[in-house]
Amino acid sequence: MSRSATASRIRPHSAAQWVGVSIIAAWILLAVVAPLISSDPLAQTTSDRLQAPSGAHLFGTDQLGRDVFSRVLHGARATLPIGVCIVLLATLVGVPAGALAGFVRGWVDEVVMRLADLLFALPALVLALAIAAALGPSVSSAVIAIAAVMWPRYARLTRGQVLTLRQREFVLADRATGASPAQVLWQTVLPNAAPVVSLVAVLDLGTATLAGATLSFLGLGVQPPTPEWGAMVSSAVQTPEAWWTSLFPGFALVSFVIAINLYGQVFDRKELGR
Amino acid sequence: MRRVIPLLAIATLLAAAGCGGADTKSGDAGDARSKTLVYGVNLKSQGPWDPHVGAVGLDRVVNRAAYDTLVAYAGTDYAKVVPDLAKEWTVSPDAKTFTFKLDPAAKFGTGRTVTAEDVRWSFTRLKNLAGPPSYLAGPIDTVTAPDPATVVVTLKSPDVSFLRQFVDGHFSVLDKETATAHGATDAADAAKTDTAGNWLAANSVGSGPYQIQSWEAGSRLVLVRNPKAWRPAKYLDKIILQDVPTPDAQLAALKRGEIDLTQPLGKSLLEPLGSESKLQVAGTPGLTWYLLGMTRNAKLDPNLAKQPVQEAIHKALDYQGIGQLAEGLQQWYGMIPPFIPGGVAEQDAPKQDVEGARQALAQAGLGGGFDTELCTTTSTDQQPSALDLAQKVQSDLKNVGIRVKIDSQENSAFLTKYRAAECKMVLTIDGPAFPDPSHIVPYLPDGARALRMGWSAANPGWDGAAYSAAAKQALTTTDEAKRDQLWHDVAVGMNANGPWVGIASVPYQFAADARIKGLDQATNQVTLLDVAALTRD
Amino acid sequence: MTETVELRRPLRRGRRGSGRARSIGRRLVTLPFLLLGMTLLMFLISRFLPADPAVAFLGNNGADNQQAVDAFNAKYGLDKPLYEQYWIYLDRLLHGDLGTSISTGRPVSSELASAFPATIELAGAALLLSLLLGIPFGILAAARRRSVLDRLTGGVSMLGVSMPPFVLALVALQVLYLQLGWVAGPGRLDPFLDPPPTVTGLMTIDALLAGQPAVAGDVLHHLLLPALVLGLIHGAYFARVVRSTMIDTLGSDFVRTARGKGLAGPVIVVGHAFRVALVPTLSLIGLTFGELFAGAITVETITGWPGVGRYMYNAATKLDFPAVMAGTLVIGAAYVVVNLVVDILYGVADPRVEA
Repeated sequence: MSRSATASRIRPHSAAQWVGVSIIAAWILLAVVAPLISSDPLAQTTSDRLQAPSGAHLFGTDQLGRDVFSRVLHGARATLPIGVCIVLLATLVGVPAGALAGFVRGWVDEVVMRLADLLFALPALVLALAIAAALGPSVSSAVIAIAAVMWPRYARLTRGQVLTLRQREFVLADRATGASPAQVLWQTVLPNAAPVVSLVAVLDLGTATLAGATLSFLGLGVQPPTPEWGAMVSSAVQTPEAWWTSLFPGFALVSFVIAINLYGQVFDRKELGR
Repeated sequence: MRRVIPLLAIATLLAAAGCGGADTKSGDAGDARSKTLVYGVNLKSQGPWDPHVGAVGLDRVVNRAAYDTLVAYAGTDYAKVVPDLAKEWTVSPDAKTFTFKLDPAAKFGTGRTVTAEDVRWSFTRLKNLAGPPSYLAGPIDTVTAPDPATVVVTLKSPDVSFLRQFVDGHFSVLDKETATAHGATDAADAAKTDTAGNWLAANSVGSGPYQIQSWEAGSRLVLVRNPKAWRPAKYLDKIILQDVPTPDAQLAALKRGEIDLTQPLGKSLLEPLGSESKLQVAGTPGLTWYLLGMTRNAKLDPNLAKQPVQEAIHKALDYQGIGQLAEGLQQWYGMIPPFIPGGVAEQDAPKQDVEGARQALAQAGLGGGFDTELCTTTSTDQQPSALDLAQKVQSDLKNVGIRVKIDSQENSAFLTKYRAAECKMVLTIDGPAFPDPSHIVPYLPDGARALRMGWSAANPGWDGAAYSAAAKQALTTTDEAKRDQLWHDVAVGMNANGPWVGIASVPYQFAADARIKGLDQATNQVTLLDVAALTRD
Repeated sequence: MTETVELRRPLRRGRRGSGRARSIGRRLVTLPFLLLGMTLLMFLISRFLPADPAVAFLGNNGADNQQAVDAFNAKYGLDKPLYEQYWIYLDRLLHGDLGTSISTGRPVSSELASAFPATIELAGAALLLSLLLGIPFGILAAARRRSVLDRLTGGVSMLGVSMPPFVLALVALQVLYLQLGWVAGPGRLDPFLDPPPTVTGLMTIDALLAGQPAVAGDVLHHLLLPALVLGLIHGAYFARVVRSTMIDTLGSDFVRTARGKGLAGPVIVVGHAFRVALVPTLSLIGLTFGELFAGAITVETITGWPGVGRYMYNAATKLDFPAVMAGTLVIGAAYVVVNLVVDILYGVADPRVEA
């Protein structure tokens, strides 16, 4: 498929997709301007803890008397990049591994694919939990842990693409003209595999964001006092009487993931696989 | 997530239906129900129920129900130690030897009389099993049974307060014969050769009013009346510990009559219950407390280990604001709380003095502040969580220029780092073994906790030597008033520039069905809850 | 867990005919190596945890007792070199010994034996619910494209797919249990009821076998909340997949042929197109069932369902590594086996495979 075809596929078509794109854009915008339109998300007023939503605190206050509204807005700054980082890291590992496996074949293929099988067969969340715990709780270890269980997906996908492409005429032609295998892989095969991989990556953003938030929910992601949606829901579980402390970050998270999935409808499943 | 908007309307409309259904359940469901107590708790990581192995929370309730100890507290009066298995006892003048005379009426569930040999065997097994609570037997030098009704315990070093240690459920007395028949041993290598762990985890061999019937880890423990109890339970035939993981689920289950008791809950959850005639709130002051530590190891943090800096931190904390973090939070005003003899009273409480803190920092040449790190746990078993409190401390210190990075980890990972003495600052939730001012010994130079902050006889700093001397004297002083005064002065002294700040504790309070009677005398901080003393209307 | 289903759902599935048979054969051969790899991976991770298992077991005070720390390390072989520890672990495993749980002191195998049926019961119920929701709505949405029903199904399944299970579980717990009281609370059974004698471990079936329909009803009542949460989330997937496959199939040649033969619309939809649409659904069932074994961690934790997910979470937070390793191994093996079975069934269901 050509690049202009990819571009037209990425452009929203239906109303639902426009809604998705708008919500994503709105969240990115809110994340950028959060410091300008809301107060300090770390400022505590313990005498005002767990106040219900009001004019002064649009979304109420949390268990330390911090403004939930500004924490939700600032939370976007922590939550959104995590999903992107996870997908980036997973593709950075998975694509070269898959390309190499598909192009070189032989034992490299065996090793990469058996490792992928292994990671596929273990329960993902438990594995990510264990890896994140082993690395010590932080944003980067959450990203690494999830990417570690996610990369085989890209490796398999890329390998499949490479296996199909290496038999196509233009690749065979390239090889016939004496280009080195590395050149063929880099200049012909990968650029042709890229559109499909990048489409999947965009689709995966929602999932990756959810996974990141789940690790934060379990205490292994973003560390306090930095506001993050999953972690905010987690600490709000302890104060069930203050529904606003969990509802707003939870709603923010769901709205963002829905937006990505709405937009993801651009791509029909069958175009990706077969 | 309560009032989810679209569902709110349905919720209100159907609330009536829900309540109607609930009422039938809490109604009279027969005698068996009436004589069964269902205790709704988070059973996660609770058990095993071998008194020499278990060391987390609820085993105190189970130990109290299934076993007996030598001595006990009379209800919530911690000043008074009363007979349990031991009818009478004496403490030697050098505060090293304790001699107990056993009550001849005491019988195990098997019908055997409790003998001094059972006591000796049990205490020795506690020590040699090398399990989580074995450290409790560490100060004991020897346990002997000169005759079937006499037990003599000698300590390695004098400690008058050790008598109170025998109230602890880990010093429960097991039926030696039954236990050894299932593979238990008190041998020096018991850690390797004792094979009763699996059996004792779900069975009991004590003289208490109840016996363990079944245990499904993490979900349900059933205790039934011991038919041969020498002191039978007052009323209840069956005690069920049922896993109900979250506090609000416990409250909801209680309101529907599915459970009779909740585990300790935050005041903010309990407060609204005051108006409900079918429920009651019971409890005692809590011994689980929040503690801030600062290292004295200049190699770990040269800034933090300075006297004016530690003084500045004591002054920078917003004690009043901390008290607002949770309703009902009990402020300690020092390392010994006001509700323990020798405790620091409210008028001696430390006060926030931001200006004074800044001056002290300037005096240390750190007017521009400095960076440091605070370790804490992500455990949410207590409210407020340690993490909430850590964020409060972080914000208070930022106020005077100290930039604190919080390193919060899962509890055992946190403990590993803290125990390795690698934390510059620490915010920990701790619990003294028994309500006595001598509980601060581990926090004084060379104590197990103090070493983690680099505070030792070799590195006593500006204040350690004086506290060590006072502690040594207090441990052998039998005159209660004099002893309390000595401990009190140590605690007050540490409020100025000591490496510890005793912050607050949460009361041990829970909700119960209003028909359950006798809770006020059945709860205390050591055994938590004596189910045998409860009745139901 | 949903995100985990998405995390690793392979995008391409299904070799056909003899290639499939060979692939299944090869997977049977590699299965032992896969299991070995799992043990090694989990073993290595467990050794890199920043927490000392002795401290996790003995606690803050207990670990001050050096004698206890030494005894613990000796008991679990932690004082030996790594390769030896792994060897001991493997040796025990081969003799059917999954190890002793550090936090409870009981054999992991007996604890998993009680947690596993609970999870199978939940996974089965959740799967049933998700199929009952997903397949009819998927078919109807495909048959009546762009209708109100199609859009509604699309909207709800979008919500289901995007909802973090922990958020949905919290909302459901609050609304259905705490506010409305429509479902029973945490646990598998009302505390006053005695569990039926264990035969299959599935309490609903055991209760019926024991002739206690009231107990079976109570178990179902408790099962409702977690099953509903998981069923909604996975049902959303099924609805999407069934819909898109049905739309493909309804436009394909053999359906057009069937229409040409004059078969009525509903007959085509149910009789022909659905059979084809069943194929991806079946492979999704395998993946979903496998995921439900472990993936219900947050849902089981929040709703208090005493299954493997909650057991593993409790074990992981106590750094109970024998329990975590054994649990992961059992779940991984179950996952692999379920998918193998699904692959075999796949050939049976796909009409094109026979051609």
